[in-house]
Amino acid sequence: MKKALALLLVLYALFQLPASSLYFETGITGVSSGPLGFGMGLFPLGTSFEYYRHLSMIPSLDKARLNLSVSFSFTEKEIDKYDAVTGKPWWSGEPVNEWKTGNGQYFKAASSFDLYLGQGFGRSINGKDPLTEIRLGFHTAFQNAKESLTLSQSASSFQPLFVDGSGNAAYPFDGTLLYGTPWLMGSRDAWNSYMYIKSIWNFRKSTGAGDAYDGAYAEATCYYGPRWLFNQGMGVPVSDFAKLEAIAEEYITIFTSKQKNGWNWTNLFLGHYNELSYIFGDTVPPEMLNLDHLRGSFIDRLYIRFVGPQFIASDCFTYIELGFTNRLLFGNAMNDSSASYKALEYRSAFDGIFHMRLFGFIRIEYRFEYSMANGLEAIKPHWSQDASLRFYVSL
Amino acid sequence: MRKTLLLLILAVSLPLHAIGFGYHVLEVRTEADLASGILPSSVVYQFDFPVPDLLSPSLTGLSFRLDNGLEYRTLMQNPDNGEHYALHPVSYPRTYTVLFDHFSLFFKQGFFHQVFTSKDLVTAKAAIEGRFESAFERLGWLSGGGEMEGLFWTADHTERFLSSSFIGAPELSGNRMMLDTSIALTLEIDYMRKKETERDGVLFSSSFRYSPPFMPLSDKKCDFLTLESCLSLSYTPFAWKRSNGFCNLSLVFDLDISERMAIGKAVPAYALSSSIWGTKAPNSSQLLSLHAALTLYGPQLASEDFHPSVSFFVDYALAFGHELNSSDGRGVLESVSSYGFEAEYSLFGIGTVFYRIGCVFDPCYNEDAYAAQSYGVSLAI
Repeated sequence: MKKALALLLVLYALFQLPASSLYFETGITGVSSGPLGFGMGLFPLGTSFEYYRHLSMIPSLDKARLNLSVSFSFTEKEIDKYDAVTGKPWWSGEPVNEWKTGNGQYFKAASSFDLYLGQGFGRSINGKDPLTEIRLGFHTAFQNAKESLTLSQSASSFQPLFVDGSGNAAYPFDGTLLYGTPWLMGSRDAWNSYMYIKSIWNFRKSTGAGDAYDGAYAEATCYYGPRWLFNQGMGVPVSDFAKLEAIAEEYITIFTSKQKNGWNWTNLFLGHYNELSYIFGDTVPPEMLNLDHLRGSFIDRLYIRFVGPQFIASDCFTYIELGFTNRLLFGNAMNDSSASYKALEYRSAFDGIFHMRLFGFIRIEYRFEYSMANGLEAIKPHWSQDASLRFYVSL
Repeated sequence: MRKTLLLLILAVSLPLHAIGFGYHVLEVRTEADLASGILPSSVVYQFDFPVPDLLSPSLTGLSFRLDNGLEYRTLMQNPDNGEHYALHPVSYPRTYTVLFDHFSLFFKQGFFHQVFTSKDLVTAKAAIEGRFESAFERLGWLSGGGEMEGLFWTADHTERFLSSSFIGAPELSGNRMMLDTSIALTLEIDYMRKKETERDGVLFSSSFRYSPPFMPLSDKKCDFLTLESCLSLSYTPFAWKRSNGFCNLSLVFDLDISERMAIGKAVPAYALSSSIWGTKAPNSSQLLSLHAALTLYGPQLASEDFHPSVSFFVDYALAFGHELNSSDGRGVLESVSSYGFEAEYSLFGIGTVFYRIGCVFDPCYNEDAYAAQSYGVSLAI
């Protein structure tokens, strides 16, 4: 109830700002698929959507944007490979209790709420977007872990994860402090919140459909989720962290050609992407955890994208992308009570994407990847692939 | 085959000349057991395809509506034999959870555009609809308190309902998943002028839904037909406005009378929803409902859709005809009712904070009256 009141107070305070438009617009930004086996994999279950409005905060500048995003999803998830009690990582080389019974799966219901106020300054080289934008945001997320849906499908598969055969909470989910997975403590209802400030720099211009650009783009973000920000539960924080993140991306057009109506015929460009991030703090919420729970991450990606002609409508097109990604993960393990495990790992992969967008409404994507270096995982280079169909509306 | 047909529906839903889509988030719902009822658990949204108005200025529409998420439901009849639990009480919990997806692809055409309402007087709508459901135990099941008793599973983890017929709850048979498809036709006569804080006029709608087992994609668990008609009357006897047109105070009276007829061997729960606050009428072939409300709207502040309101409402439902989903199909004549107050605050048209409190008279099968309350936030645009 306190959280509800706090959210309403934040909303109320923001609505008191002078408004040039009193009505929100809305967009559905993604529809996720449901748990395994739901509707033959064709029916969506889970949606993210956003409301926004524009506010004239400083008359000489562009209007600010107040953006509210809400999402929910339901999925089946496998329990982490880390020690739930101590957070000892699976790659420590020491025995780790995985607390896994049956197939180790549980049902995860999740919702989130994100509110930011963004103000643009200056004018980018495209003459339309601001040169830089500052965003101040607040994010809160809820997740609830329940026994797997598969548990109640057959008497023979009754192997609950969180309770014992008599329905009582099983160790370590019986109130034991879980440094490794604090979101699975107690009732397994977990809220975590953070604030963020993001700075976006825009030196790029669009050269056609398919997110084709020429120029450069950069952003720097600081996320801060201290324990006093609604992050205290069961006597220990469910979140207490800070994250610094910097992203830079550059684009060089190789060739581009247009149809008579201004639509794209073909477009080929080279892109280069860098991301550097580091996470501080004793307790990091699940959506912020890096691969292998390492605090530092550096990504370098070089790619080439060929965008085909727009057909039927401006938002109908395909693109093919080939990329080479190198990733360095480093530092201490997160959510580890001993704070004594550290590692450095290198991953690299060659990948390809086939993307089809229909009417701005449907996105079909097929990805393949050849992983050459797999960091701490003792596996050989291998191929993998996946495909997805998503409903998506962007404004 | 099913996948092919579903993809075909998806493909048909894309007119080739479409340049862009209109879309709406129509409703966002919450469940008390999920995120304390604050964050959403299901949402209804709609994509409008740009089609020309065939009879301008009347509106022509082609839309795809999707409703998906999670909801709680209470089992009303024993799945094995269709006995009403109200007549044959049991000790085990009857609440369960449903993950669902409901899609509707519909075409609508308006006739006789009205200046009074700025809408079409008559609108005809034809739809292809489908609903997928997957039911499982309540979210609180096996939460660690030593409670092993579920609805579908007994405390020693044996299946509670062994029947292969599932006459009382056809959608729960087998693996408790259902895929039902139907055709739906609706006729609406709209002579209602609606503003945020005022309503005047008459609205009548009649909907027909047919879901035989031979419908494409259907898993043949359901077989039913419903005809539902609703007459709404609204009148604003008093409205005090400011010079900018915003309302200071207004009083609105609403009266809705509806009748639902259901026929069929296997009628799923989703087709039998009733709008009685706080309770539910027993499943029967005929249901007559009445909703009356007197609403006082407070001042519109920063915006037309930022205002408080207080309502006094009365709900009444009479179930008659014969029992549905029952082996003996005996006669029914039962009524339920509730009354209470509702306080709301509309937040810029995207949401409403509400609190309801009232008394429920549930003499259905001789159960006692009780008090009830609910509160939360609802979002819609």
